[in-house]
This record gives sequence, structure tokens and C-alpha cells, in this order.
Amino acid sequence: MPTLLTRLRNSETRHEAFKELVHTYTPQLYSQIRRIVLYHDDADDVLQNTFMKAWIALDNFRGDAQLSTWLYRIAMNESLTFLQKQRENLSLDSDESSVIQKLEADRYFDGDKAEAQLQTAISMLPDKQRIVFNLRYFDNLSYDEISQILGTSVGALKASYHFATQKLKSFLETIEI
Amino acid sequence: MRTTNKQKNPFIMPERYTEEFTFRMMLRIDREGQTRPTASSSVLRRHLYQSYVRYAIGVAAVMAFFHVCTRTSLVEMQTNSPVAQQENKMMASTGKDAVYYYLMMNDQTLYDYEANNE
Repeated sequence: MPTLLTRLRNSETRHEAFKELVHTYTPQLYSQIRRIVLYHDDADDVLQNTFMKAWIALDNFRGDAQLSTWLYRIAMNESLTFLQKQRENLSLDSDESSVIQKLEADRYFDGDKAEAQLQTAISMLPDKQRIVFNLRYFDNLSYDEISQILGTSVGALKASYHFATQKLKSFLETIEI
Repeated sequence: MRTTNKQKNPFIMPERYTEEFTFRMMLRIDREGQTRPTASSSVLRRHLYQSYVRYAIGVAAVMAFFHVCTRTSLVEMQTNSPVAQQENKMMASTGKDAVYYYLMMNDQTLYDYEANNE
């Protein structure tokens, strides 16, 4: 049985293989994107864009990295683009308390107030630190793996993670839990 | 990719989301991405550049051909025309002849002119 990558490269089997790819990687990518964009509808949009970009760029994938790493990278870039656009259209209801309220009201969020506060604190981090923190803390990825996904040196990633944890600590100390 | 630490993840994925999303995603691809995935931008750029260079060379060759043809016929026309012949005469003549030619004098007025000036 040819591998998924081989079938993706064959124009006759590409469509079915891509369907399998979407089905396989949707849970993991959704989970990662959702932590960055917070809300289900936004995560759904970013995930669609991620797979659309992957479909279009399929011929460019050289196979140097794993398919999952490549998809993760596209997903992170799409998430960053989404956050930048969101910041450009910054609304008045994007302060900490409203984010917490929205999360608590979200039917696809299963956490208490403390969890909502932690996620809000993470969402206040600079974009890159936010992604590094999520990949390291929640997905338990090694710095080498994160380095492959983000194209950043391990040293810079360690520094980002350190600053992120420091900021989160001081942010959580200032709010009531 | 490693498994996500589910105990720490408060974000829930809707039930049957994967199946429903896969269906929607493939519909979108059928609608928007029916054509074969595009070649890389560098390949496209190279292809465009090569096409442009070929086109530019062709246009330059045609222009050069027309330029040579029109130039040749123009030179011939200029050499054989009565005006050109007169101009040649003027170029060949010197001194008074040039002045007479410039003053557009015929033989009669020329003799009158010379008689008056003597």
C-alpha cells in the first residue's frame, strides 16, 4: 500500500488521499488552532484556510519534514495571520473581562473561571510567545520540534517560553482566582 | 505530532466535527480548487520570464527587420528623387554656384544679377 505522501503526489489518488489527510489531522490541528484563536467559529475558519493552503501548495512540499510538521507550520502561520487581522479590527469588547465572559459562555469551552482566566492570560501574550507556550506546555512538543514548525532557533524559543511563563505568572498574580 | 494533553485542554471539539469538517472541506476543494494544484511561484516566475524573453526577442527581430527594410527604401528614394539630385548638385557646387542655387536664380536672373553687381 503506497504511503499517504505517495498517494498525495499522484494526481489520480490525490483527492482521496487528501480527504484521508484532512480526516486524520483535523483533531490535532483544530485543538492547536483553537487554543490560539479561542473560539470555535474562528478555529473552524482558520482550519479550513490551513487545509486549503495545504491543497494548493501540495506540489511544493518537498518531504524534508514530516507531513504533520508541515501542516502544523501552515496552521500556525494561518493562526498568526488571523490574529493580525483581528488586531486590525480590534473591537472594544476585547478586554480581559469580556474574553473571560465569552469563554465561560462558549458551549465548546469546558473549563471553570480559573481556566478561562488562564486562557485569557495566554491570549494576552505576544503572538509568537503565545504559540510557543501552547506548543510547549499543552502539546508537550520538544524545542527541536517547535523549531522545525516555527523556523526559529531553539535558544530563541527557550527565551520566548521563559518570558511567556514570567508574564503569565505576573498576570495571574494580579487577578483574583 | 504528539498527543495533546487532554487533561489540560478545556477546548472541546464538537461531536462528529471531524467527519462533518472533512465533508465540508472536500466540498470546498471541489468548488474552489478543482484545478490541479498550481506549480510553485518560482517555477511560474521562471516560466513567465522565459516567455517574456522569447516574446521580447521576437518583437525586437521584427522591428529590426522593418527598420532595415524602410531605411534601405528611404535611402534609395532619397538618392533618386529630383530634390535629392538638386541637393547633390548643391553639395557639389561651391562659392557663387552655392549662392545662386540658394537664391533660386535661373540662368536669366543669374546673368542680370551678375551684370548689376559688376
